[in-house]
Amino acid sequence: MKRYGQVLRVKPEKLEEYVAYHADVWPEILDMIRECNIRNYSIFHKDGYLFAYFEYVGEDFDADAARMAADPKTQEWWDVMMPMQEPLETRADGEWWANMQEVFHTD
Amino acid sequence: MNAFNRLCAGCVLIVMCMLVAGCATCPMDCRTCPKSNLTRYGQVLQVKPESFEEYKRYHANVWPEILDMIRQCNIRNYSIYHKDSYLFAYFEYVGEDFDADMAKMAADPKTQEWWDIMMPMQAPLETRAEGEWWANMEEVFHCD
Repeated sequence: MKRYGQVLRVKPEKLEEYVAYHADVWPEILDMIRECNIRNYSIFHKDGYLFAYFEYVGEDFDADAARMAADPKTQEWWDVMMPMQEPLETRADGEWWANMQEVFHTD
Repeated sequence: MNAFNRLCAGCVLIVMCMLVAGCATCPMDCRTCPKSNLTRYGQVLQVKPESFEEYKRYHANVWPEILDMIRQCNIRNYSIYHKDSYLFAYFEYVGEDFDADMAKMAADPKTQEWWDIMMPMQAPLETRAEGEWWANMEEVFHCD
């Protein structure tokens, strides 16, 4: 199992809509998250920052991420979400959500 | 039959731990325990850029007393992440009284010693609630 922390910003005027969508995520999106071996996935908000935490239990993260990106329903979801988001300028090449560095962990 | 017997022995052990010895010695995963009332926390503050390397070094080798106190205070699966001077903490609280556990942690001399080193390296958010150091975040989404 590998833990991930990720960050980006939500546009202030879109926060309410973003929260409303996430209170009632489409079931196909939840299914795809699970099929792609992601577990215990949370998103938190403060001051325009969105922090995501999840646990990856598969063997090939890039392959699972590619599978998710190829799913039409997920693409439809992202087409709604991405205009509400502002990725960090400092994100790595190819990232949308910027991966964070794990500084500490205890079970 | 053997598997059934082994399962029952396991169940007895778990029930004994829950009822007699308490959660601290229970071998069960709190996330699947029917007795556990798990709450997830996300928290945020900033680290001073010039102190980040030192902060990381301390956290690569946290004092054992600090880890013990975290566990005693019913905190599990605790991670801290960094990006662009922001520190994001995620943990799961499996106790019954978060405020009481936090008061217990704050009263621990070794934890106070640790905080005396950490706090000058940190810059809490102006927008944090009264009484907070790490600002609590709002959970927007969760799926198991």
